[in-house]
Amino acid sequence: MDQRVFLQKDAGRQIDRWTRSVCGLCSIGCGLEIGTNGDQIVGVRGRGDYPVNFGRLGPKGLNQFYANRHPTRALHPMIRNKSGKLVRATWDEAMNAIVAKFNEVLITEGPDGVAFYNSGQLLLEEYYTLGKIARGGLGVANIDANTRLCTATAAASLMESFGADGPPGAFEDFEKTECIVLVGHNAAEQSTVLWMRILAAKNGPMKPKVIVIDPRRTFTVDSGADLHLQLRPGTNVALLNGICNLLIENGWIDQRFIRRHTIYFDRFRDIVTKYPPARVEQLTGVPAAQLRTAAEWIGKSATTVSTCLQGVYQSNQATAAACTVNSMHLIMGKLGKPGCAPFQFAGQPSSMNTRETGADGAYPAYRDWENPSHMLDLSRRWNVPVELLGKKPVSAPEIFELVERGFVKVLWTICTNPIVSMTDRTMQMKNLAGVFLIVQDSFANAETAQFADVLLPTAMWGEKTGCMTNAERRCSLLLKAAEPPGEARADFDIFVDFAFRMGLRDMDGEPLVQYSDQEAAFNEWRELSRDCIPDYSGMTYDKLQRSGGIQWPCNAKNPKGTVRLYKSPDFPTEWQITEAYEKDLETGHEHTLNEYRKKKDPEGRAVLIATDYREPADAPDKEYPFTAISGRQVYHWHTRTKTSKSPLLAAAAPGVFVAVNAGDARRLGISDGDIVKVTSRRGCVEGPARVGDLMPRGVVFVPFHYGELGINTSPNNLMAKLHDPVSKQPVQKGASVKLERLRGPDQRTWWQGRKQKAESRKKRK
Amino acid sequence: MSCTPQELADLLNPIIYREIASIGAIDTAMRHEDNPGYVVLFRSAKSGKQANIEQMTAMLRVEGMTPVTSAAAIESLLKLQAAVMEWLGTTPMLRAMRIVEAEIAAHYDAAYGRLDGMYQKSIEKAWHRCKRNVGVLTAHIGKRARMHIDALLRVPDPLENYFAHDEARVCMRCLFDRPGELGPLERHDPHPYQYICAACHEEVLSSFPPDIAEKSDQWSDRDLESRIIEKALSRPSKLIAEGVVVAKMSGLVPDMPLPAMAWKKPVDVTGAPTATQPPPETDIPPARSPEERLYDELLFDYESVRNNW
Repeated sequence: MDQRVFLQKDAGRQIDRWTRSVCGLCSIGCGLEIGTNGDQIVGVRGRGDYPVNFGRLGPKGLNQFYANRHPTRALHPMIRNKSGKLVRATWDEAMNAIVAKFNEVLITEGPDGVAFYNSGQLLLEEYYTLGKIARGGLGVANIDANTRLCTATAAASLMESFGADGPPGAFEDFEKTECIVLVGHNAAEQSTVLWMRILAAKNGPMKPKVIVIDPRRTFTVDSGADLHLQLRPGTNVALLNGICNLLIENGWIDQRFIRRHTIYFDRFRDIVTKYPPARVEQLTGVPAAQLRTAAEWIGKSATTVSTCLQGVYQSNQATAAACTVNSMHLIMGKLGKPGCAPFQFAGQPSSMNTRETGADGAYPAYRDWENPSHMLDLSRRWNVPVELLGKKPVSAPEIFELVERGFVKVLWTICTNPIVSMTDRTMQMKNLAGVFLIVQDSFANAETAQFADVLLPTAMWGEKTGCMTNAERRCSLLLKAAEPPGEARADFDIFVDFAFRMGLRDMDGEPLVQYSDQEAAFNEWRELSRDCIPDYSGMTYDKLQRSGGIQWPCNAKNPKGTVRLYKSPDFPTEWQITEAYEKDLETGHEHTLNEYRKKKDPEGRAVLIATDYREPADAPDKEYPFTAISGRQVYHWHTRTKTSKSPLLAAAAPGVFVAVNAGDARRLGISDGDIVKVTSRRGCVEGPARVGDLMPRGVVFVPFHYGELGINTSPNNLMAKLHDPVSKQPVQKGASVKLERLRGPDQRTWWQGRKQKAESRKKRK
Repeated sequence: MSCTPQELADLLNPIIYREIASIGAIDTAMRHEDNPGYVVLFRSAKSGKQANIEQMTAMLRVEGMTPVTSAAAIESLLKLQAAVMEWLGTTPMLRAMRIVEAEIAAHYDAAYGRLDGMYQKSIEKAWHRCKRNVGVLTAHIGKRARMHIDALLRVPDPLENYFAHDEARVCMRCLFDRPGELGPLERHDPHPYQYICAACHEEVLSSFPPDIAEKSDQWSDRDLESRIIEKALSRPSKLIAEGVVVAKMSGLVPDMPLPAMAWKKPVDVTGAPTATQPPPETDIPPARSPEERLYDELLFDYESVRNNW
């Protein structure tokens, strides 16, 4: 991979110092340096020697530093007074108010009365500390992260197929493969630098064929796909079953691998053979010939890399579809070697750490809550009573329902904006307007922050030190480049302070959190993860600083880390080590330890999983005949709290739109730029129609970044409170809606009058 | 508070001690229990005990006192007893558990009388969890031992209201097996064993929000069943069953919180200022590969609009 060092800085500003860090936006984790002038961040440049990006950065990465110095930064703590106004407070006042409320609720309601909802954007040390406080100190099971909305399904599918979370592959596999299958992964907009690597690889020795499976003709399709399977929303399982059926039918499978390293092949085959191409075409809308081509490319390639992202994870039958992708690789024996991996992708920059450390409700280092020896080991390391561990995790959709029903009295949100990002948004707003809400955020005007009872201002990317682990298990150290503004503090310091003020102690009466700096927290985490699946024991801050990040497991046996998992396929499915005991993919219910141990234990083999296709829960009907799906734009990150602060990004994607198929638009009398209304059984979105041929008939698309209070721009107004039964990930790609024209353009719509770019290679040729 | 911090510690620590020890016994029982329904029952008892301990620990922490964190001596005995009882069968285990629960309940009763205000409210909640455990255990012992319930301990309703079938089953939501019109939902191999009683079936079906309930007519029977089981086994649904069903069937007044009532208005303290940011200077070296070059050209052109938006 050639080096290309991208740079962006304030024109004419001198850079005094460059500080090593990693991009704080998506899960690729590009290495970069932060340029400062005095104590202000004024630029970034890619690290040419960094093995993830070789100097490249995406538009969001280049523009992220504008948020650091934006005037809407939260500068001091605030408390809502009796007349409902948020007024300035000292840190002592704010923290004491939190501690008093926590104690009151813990005493009167118990741990079910409080909840933490954190992020995929914090640092490893922060997640670990938060998880330790919640689980080990307060006995709270109501802790989850917004990673529930992005990669909970990745984790769930890896546990079901292989016994534990942890993506098996490495980014270098994209350059060593003959075939890349992107399932619901709009890489050109979500993972820009990875997409650059793929495009560069297409010009390299392997010349991989790229297959994109997506209901929308995305930027990825137009800028680099060789085959686009444009399926109906919610039909991933049917299509993937169809591919697996053809792989088996044509003998493009590895019988020896199946025999030695997997279980349940017969059951798997019996299900997928019910999906011949003609039936798949009927269910998905994908022509049988295209399906055959895809299967042939996948099956005949010596190597294949697949990825899944939100098109799978936020869709119907999320875990089932992701597991089928894992199974597809297993039946071909394509994993654990160069150029072969099912890549269950992470979304946010540190969502891997949320999962590893247990800030998503699991127990740290992939310990299973139901396994007594895992809990005993954890209790010894934390020096807390084992009797108080082993609580079943409570997922974010459950937590929000507990808020709605009044069980949760105090909700602490950390670096996340659920008012915009959660489904059934009208209900969420009502809930958060009723609960005692602690908001820990960098921006005082984030939509959720506006409902805070206590607002804690935080340092953000570039203003604190700690680690992040990317989607290929690569842990990197981010160094502090500048001081946070005003009185803002690192999230880590807030958690440590909270533990101290709460008086949390271990069994010897010593403070539960005995460290006060990030490196010490990291060292405790290293020890806690020793001999576990995500083994960090061989990493140190010093080692991380000297390297381009290290992929776990990193220990005495693998001091330089591990490029890919399952090289000698020995899967962590034995009951003693597995992270989960096989769930019912339709209900999410898990075997008990004894059921698993006595009847189900695959004893080191991977589990082949196929499921019958099930129609989406909120499928279109007579009254609501369209399907609404949501997704991202390349210039924004999630709810825009950071990216809207960059002038370039804000101008490039300034507002909501509704993408409509031209045929549907003609039938409904809608012209490009007309204001349309999309209505579901829960709410509506109003915005200009973007008419074209990107969407299949009967499907509308709304970007999920917008959600300003007081206007209807968020697709989460439309989405039902439905989630995948296993991963509990909300369905954000599939609501039945109706579409109507409201009026002509209010004024010239933002895209009209701008230069139109044809991104299709074919068109340009 | 009607007692000193030390008196509070003297009052609560013995209860914490017993609760910790009984959790140890439950953990031992779970390890030996093959019936998934009873594993769920044990888990539910354990989770309630953990909540009780956390509540009492919070009280002592606030008062600057140290809660006990170990019950080593008695716990070893209870664990041994649990192992023996499980070896003898589930019913002896349930009997042993009930004896311990009844003893702990007596301690809560005594503590309740000594406290007032917030602390009394807290102990009342813990006491009720304990009484619910006693109620559940009593009903199951009565059913399994085929004894007349009066001979053991009173439960408020006739036993047939708790169990709809001849054999004792455990609904994974309400922990009984209550009768109802629609019949129970059950799944087993190759799935994990799952059982939702007929009454919970109906209660959960009627608890879907209106927008989803409206769609449920269009679901297949299998999908409807799956979604009911999933919802029934969620934490909110189980807490509702605990607070309403189990409470009532253990002779307690239903204990449900009031739903959150929106009372706050959003406040933007920043006044949404616009920032004046200096113009950027960007350097993006050209790519070698034509595909990457074309992509760069589109990606970093912030002013044009791409066709595929």
